[in-house]
Amino acid sequence: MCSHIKSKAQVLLPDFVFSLAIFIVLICIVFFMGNVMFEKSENYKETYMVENLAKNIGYYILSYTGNPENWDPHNVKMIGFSTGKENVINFTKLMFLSSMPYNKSKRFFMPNEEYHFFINITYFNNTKSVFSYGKYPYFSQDVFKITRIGILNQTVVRVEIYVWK
Amino acid sequence: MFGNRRGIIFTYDAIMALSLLSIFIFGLFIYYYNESSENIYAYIKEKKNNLLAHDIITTLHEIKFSSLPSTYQNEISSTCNIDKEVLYNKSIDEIIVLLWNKNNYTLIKNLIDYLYPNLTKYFYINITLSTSTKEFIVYSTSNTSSEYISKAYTFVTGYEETKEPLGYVAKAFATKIKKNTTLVFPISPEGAGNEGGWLTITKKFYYEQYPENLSSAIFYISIHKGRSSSDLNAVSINGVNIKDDIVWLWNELAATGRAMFGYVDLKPHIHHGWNTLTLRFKNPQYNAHVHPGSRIEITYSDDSFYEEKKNVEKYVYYEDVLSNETLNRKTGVWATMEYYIPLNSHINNVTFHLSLRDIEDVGWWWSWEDWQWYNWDVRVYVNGNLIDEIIHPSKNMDLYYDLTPVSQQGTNYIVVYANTYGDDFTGDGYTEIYSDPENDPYGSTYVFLNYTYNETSLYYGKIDITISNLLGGNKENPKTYTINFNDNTLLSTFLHVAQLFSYTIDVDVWSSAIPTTRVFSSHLPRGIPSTIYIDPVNFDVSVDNYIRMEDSCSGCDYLPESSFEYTILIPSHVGYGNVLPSKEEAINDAIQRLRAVLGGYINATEIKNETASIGNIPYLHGPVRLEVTVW
Repeated sequence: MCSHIKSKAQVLLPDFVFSLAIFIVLICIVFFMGNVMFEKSENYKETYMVENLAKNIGYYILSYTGNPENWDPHNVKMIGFSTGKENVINFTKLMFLSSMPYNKSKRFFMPNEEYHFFINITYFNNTKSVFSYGKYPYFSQDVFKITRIGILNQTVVRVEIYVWK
Repeated sequence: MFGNRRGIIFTYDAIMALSLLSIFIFGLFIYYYNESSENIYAYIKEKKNNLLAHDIITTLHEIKFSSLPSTYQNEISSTCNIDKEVLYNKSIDEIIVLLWNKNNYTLIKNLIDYLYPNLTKYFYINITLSTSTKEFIVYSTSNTSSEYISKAYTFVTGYEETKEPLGYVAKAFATKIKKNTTLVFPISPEGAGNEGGWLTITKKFYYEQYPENLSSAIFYISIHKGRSSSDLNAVSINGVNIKDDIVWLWNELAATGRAMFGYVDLKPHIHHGWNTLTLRFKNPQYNAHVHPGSRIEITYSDDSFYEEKKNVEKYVYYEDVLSNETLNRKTGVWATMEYYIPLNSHINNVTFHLSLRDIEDVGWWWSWEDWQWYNWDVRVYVNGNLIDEIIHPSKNMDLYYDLTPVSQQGTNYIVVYANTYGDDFTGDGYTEIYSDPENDPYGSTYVFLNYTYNETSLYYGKIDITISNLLGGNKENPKTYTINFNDNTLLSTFLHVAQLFSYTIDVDVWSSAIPTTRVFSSHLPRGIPSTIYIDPVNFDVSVDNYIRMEDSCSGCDYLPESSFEYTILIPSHVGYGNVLPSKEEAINDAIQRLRAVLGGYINATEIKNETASIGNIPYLHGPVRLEVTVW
């Protein structure tokens, strides 16, 4: 028994080499998957952020009058399209928006320059647009969209908001 | 030898363990991220739907009737029977409630389909209206559901179903009333003129009303006297002997004399203020005493409303019991006196004042009852526990006992023995438990009670009515009584047992909603009180309740003339009722509803009412909850 324990070649046995190989493979898999998970986690964070951006745009369109309340392109400090009544959109303010360059208006809607937005307002009974503004995401695959409902000129409208990168 | 084991961590087993640990950690990562991605997906879906539900609620409120096409305006106006001018500024959510009120769900559907055409291309919705009792789905795009459902709701003040949208409503208050209510003055089981000595019991009671308000006054008498009719000398009320007017219902002859139960009308003799009832009788074969069931029941009309008191202070007076010796047969007195304290209360002070007259200090005497020598002359028990034993009494004594620590919530009873115990007597001349609350309130025998309700119930604007019902049925033991309180608020309840002979008592209460509860038990000789308090918490007012009383002596039946006394609270007003076309109809409707609530016990002698027009302000009923579900 004592002579067996003293054997110096013990660590190089074939079963040890085999188990070491399995261990290394598994560690590699864990690191690889961990990396994938980390990327996913980043995606989730981004999804939250984009969702918030879209929600904010919805707020500006349906709930906020802007600053000053009756703003125009020359005196606008904060943008907003509500008439003062919840979910009722002021068409004149939409027209002011359409006269603004995209890059100027984008600063009001979102602080993050790497994202873009597109607003499309349509009636419920047809797909024809009543109002659209922004950059349409023709080729982007990272598009987040929310739909809101408002009133424009005493008619119920769908407000589609796209945020994309 | 220790140095030769350095390579042990590189064994095959250790490597495999590390591998398994890695797999486990990896599995945890997979699980966590799958959960996270599911949660994020669900969160975003629900957020989107929630925004839509909120938008629909808001837009329904912001779109006005005036913006609808004239075809819709005309149809809604004619359906609801309301002029277009009245509806002009109404919002669509209010219009939906009006149409729901008219059960026109088709028009609701058409209206929403008009406002939100092709809705189902984008999402599904339900619109639900609910009152406090019912829920109605007034619009639905699909029967199917989803796990990502969001709801938003608002309250629309409007009309309830079946209510007319235009007209008058009224509420009524009884500001002056006449009610029939009952007062019960129990007479404690007590005695005893020994072997032919006269027993005189004097009951003084206060009637605060006037004779013209008196509906009835009945004295139920339950006594154990001698066999001869001459053994009952007097039953007098305010000095008028009415013993010959007694209607005897039950009597039972025994070796110890005759137990009798009957009643007599006191109405012609009752007057305002203090009244005095006197019983004078004897029992040459045994000793004379009152059995359970003796009581005075006075029903009268009154105009008072219920007054809630948080702190209660009151004196409970007992009868004067005077026992005379005849020849050398000795004498003595005993009495069983009850008092009650509600369950929902804190006991602050209970003081018992016992006034005894002509007590003999007899030294040692032989008790045939317990078959042993005693040297006490007065004993006082509370709830079956001996609290005092006086060995060398004075002739006349005023004894004060602080019963606060020994009193309990519910029925309490005091048993006093003076120069007597069971069938043993040791007194000379006369023995008396003294009481004269009319002329000597503080020198009389009484219990002073002070307790505080733990919480008051805010029964303002209500009228209290006390009702006493005879149990009826057969003369039997055990006896069960059934009562339904018809959902009235219950303030207090008492059981007045009537027996020719008695020994012990157990009282149980139960219903389909409340399991059996033993509310009172007494196994002390002559320890059965006339009145047993049963706290209302033992009853469910919405179902039948059962009260069962049992005496361990098989021949000790309960009489049908036992009674159950209870006090209920009745509202003195009714709120707005149906919408009626004219003011007069609305007022009459309110008065009729008020009279129905007051029932046969209360007559409203003055009624005030308030009316309101609900033409352009349709906000008297509701609110109705409008809920939008999106998925």
